Amino acid sequence: MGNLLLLSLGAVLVENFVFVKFLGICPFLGVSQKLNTAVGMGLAVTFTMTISSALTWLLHRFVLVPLELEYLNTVAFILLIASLVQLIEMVLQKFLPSLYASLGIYLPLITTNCAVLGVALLNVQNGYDFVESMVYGFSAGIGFLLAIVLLSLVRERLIFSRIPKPFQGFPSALIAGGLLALAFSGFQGLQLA
Amino acid sequence: MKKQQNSLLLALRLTAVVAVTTLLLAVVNAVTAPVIAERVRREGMQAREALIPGSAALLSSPELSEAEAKTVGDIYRITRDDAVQGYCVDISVNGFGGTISMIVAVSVDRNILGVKILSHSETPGIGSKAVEEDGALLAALKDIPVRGVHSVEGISGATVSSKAILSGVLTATQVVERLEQERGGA
Amino acid sequence: MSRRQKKDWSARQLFRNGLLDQNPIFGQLLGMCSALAVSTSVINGFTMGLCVTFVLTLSNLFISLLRRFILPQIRIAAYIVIVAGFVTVVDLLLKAYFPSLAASLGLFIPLIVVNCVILARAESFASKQPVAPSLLDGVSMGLGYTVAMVVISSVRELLGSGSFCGIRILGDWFSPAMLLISPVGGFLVLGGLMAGVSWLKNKRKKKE
Repeated sequence: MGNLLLLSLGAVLVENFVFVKFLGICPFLGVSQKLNTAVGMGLAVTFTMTISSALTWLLHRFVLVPLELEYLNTVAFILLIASLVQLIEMVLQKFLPSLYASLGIYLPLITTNCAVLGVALLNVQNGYDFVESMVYGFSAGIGFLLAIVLLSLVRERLIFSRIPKPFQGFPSALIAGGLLALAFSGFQGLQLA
Repeated sequence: MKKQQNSLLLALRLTAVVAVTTLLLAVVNAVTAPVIAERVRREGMQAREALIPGSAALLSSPELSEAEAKTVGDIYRITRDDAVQGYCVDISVNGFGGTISMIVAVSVDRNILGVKILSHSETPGIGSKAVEEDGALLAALKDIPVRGVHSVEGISGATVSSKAILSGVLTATQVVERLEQERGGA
Repeated sequence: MSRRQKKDWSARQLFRNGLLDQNPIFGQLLGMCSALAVSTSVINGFTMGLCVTFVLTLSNLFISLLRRFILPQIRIAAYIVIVAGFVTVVDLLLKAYFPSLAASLGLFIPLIVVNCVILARAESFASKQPVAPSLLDGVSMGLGYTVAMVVISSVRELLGSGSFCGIRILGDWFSPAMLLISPVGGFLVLGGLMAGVSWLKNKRKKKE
């Protein structure tokens, strides 16, 4: 139990997926203009990452490894993730149409979120078992949620500042992101294990 | 009826794409897998020879605790002139950028003979300082008694990488200690 | 009638498009993850650029070849399979013949699959254009990406380690700003460079 907690904290703070591992940058920059879209995206990504971690682990352990097809990891995982996102889309459209409408085009873009495929591959690379993989996937998602929410809070205020023209828009978001990353690098000293 | 035919046609076309891709990958894998395996084998052999010269014998199913099993790979017992010289332990630890693969050589008289890094993904210029062949960390891990590991300092700026390597070395020494006791060594 | 509706791209137009106007990193803002993670040294950045170019060119080629075979309903799944296939080929070849590069690029080689540039070009260009322009588009976009990666990596490596391609250039008098190679530096350098690009674009617009 303690081991899982350390794993979880590590994924959220010490090795935050956005600020340290550079996974999930595209939506981090693209969907962080407003707080509510950021929260929606963060939650959707966390949900997807948890389930995809579980499913890809099962696929790896019970299909790819016994058949010695590990080289098909990437292909199999991304197909699984794409199908999962499609499924989530259909379910949301039917049961939570308002959420579906507000997420709009960002929902299918979860497929191309490096963090989702990244965490699936990392679970395999680090040799985690089923529970560890799900916890890692969930925590990585929470880390992403934390990052995107923080940036959206900054950006919502940033539009009221006078920024030199070349820096307006993305460059200012990147600089803000960099400063957030600097703050997070303070967690490096956290003795977790 | 037409809709069913349409769906079937779509599925067939997609299956065709998947099948061709899988075939291509199977071919590339068949070509590259032996190359990779051979290179890994050769690298390992050369590294072991450089660390402890002698004939290396792979230990089959050594007893490892659950935690050790996650980092420890193959263990080789090195003998020369019918006397056991030491062990070469394959270790993989999580560095900063990814897995660090290394071989730790421990002699029978409880000395760490050296560490050879096989592969890593550490950031060039920062974490890479810890894995440098002629860097301060690996130099400090050459020909020291096992208990001296605790006083080896990590490289400043590469804390995570250094800690990972040192913990890997410690695990290797623990395993060797147990193996030597089982064997009945002093 | 349909000929006039489709825009015929010349080679020169394609290259200008990929390198400048719609540069994947600086223009379209795609492929950010790798731009930040792999740009710590010029060799890493350049190798990544080559890998992406390889995958992009081949996937554009085959998706264009198969554009009538792959019907719209299954196109996303088909594109993903094709791109993932070529990415795996690159991954295996690197692991076999350039193992140290494979190790330093690490996770980001398989992650080329979700590099938005490739899927974006497949969807917006290769699926609609004939083979030759698609091939050239792949090459030019890949080159644009590579050039951008080299620029970012050069700044980070030169000012962060004092070296270029591993060779120490700036002497001992220069204290490297190690921050630039760290993750923080990635954000800051990319932000700064984008601001620079934006400023250049505005200058050109003012001239016209």
